[in-house]
Amino acid sequence: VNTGRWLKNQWDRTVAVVATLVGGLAILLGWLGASDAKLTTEQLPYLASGAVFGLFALGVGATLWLSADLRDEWRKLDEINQGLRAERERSR
Amino acid sequence: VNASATRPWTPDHVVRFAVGNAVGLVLVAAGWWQMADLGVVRDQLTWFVVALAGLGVAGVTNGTWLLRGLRAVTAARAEMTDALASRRTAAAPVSTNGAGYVAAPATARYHRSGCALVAGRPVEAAGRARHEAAGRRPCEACRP
Repeated sequence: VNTGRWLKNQWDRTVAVVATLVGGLAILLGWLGASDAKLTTEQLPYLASGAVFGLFALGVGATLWLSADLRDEWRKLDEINQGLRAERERSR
Repeated sequence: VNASATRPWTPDHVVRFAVGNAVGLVLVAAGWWQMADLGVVRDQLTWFVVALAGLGVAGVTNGTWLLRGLRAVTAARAEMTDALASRRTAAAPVSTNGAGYVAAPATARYHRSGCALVAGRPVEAAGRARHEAAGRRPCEACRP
């Protein structure tokens, strides 16, 4: 399998995996940062950079992966529908 | 039904998806950036709400994107079901002479003998292994 070609064709799945990893890492770093901070005012920024950004990245990753699945399913169905339409035209 | 009319996402939708997520990211980053400079919890919470708003914008954008894809798949599935149902009324199973599955010549899929996609068409009957050796894959409709 040509990895470069696969990454190009499956760009959305590639970005989904990267976004999920980044999101997981952000949550982990946010947790580590918040646990080391003493004051609430020091902890709160970690909540934004870790938890909120992490959830944002995980959301983007999940969306791209699910939309890639939907795209693949739609393509298969469209291929079948095109065959059925062509056959209907032939039988007229 | 025109295939392009039911396409899940047009370039316009891709732009909206990108802009929605970019706006969300900017709000999250702005919230974090401002919070880091403030020393009072009350002031920080105001900017935390901005960051949460960014998460909300991205969530709505992504939800809309997925909903659109789901609608397109549902429409395509309904079109296929209607077309197959109208054929099934007139279709009789194709004889396979006990060979298992059938395929029309020069096509890329093999089917069950009763599949509406091959009803009334000239077909070759063979076992799964022979169809797959000929480069065919299973039909997505009848799933042989």
